[in-house]
Amino acid sequence: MDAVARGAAVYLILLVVFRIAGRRALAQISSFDLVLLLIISEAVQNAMIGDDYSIVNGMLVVLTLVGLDILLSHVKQWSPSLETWLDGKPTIIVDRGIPDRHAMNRARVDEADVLAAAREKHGLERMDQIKYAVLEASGSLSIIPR
Amino acid sequence: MPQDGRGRRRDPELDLEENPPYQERMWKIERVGWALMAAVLLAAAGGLFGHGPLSERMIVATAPHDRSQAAAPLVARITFDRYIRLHSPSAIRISEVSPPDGGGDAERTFSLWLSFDYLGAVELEPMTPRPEVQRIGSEGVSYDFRVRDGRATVVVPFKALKIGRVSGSVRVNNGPPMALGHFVYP
Repeated sequence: MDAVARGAAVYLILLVVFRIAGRRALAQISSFDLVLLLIISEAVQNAMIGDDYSIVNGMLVVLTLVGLDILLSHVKQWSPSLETWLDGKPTIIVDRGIPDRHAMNRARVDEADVLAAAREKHGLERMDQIKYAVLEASGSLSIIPR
Repeated sequence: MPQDGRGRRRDPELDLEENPPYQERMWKIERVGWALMAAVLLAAAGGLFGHGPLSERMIVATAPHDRSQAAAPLVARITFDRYIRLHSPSAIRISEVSPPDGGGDAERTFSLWLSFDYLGAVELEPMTPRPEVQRIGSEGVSYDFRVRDGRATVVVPFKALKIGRVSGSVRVNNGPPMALGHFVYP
């Protein structure tokens, strides 16, 4: 019971914290994002398993995490509005070549990020070559060239 | 761009459903969330979730009441953390304020007593110094230490075993019981 409660508590806390942190927080923009992800997992590990290093305890925590994930995916399918709140929605930040400054500020994305994604994905050189740039719910930037 | 009644809009060329009212609300919630995170961190720095100035608590133990004196004399200061966390190490520090006989050379016994309700909720770790004698009574356990000169100081490390309010009582040199308690976070 303890293992299930610990796993569920950590799952829910992380869900809320990462929703609040925003989709750009762990979109792996910099190499430090990966380091951050690793040290976060290290920090919550003990809270989940406590001082019980048995296989059964580890399996119970894994089953709790995977089970909650399956459950939430069903709930999201059943309620689209809950899905919006849990996963977010894509945001158009460059619309037919015109950057939406308000959305970019709020989402903490700048022109340099858009241009970097455009270079990486399509080898584009300038903003006017971009038709749409979309900040996806996952935090990644999609670029649609003209 | 066409919008439906709930504020969702669909780009005519790009098959993508945006929801600007939701997005604005979510951005606001994010910012409120950041303020809450900062508040939690400040509270933690102050000691609301464990060791820190907000958590420190001190009680004073007095000698057994003597009718010839107006107020019972101060025997020891007991300090501990009001807020602790489950299975996290913490400690109670008992420092004698004034030795009963003025601190002469003669050996004497310094005695500490903890009630069973407290002992049942925590896991005591070896005290520093180790008690010479431990005695189980009807309501608690007393620990006796030999003191040669000066003031006795005893550190009782422990870990909390249950979540929520943990309370009990402590007595020094057979004085009146003093309430001792913590709030244990999960």
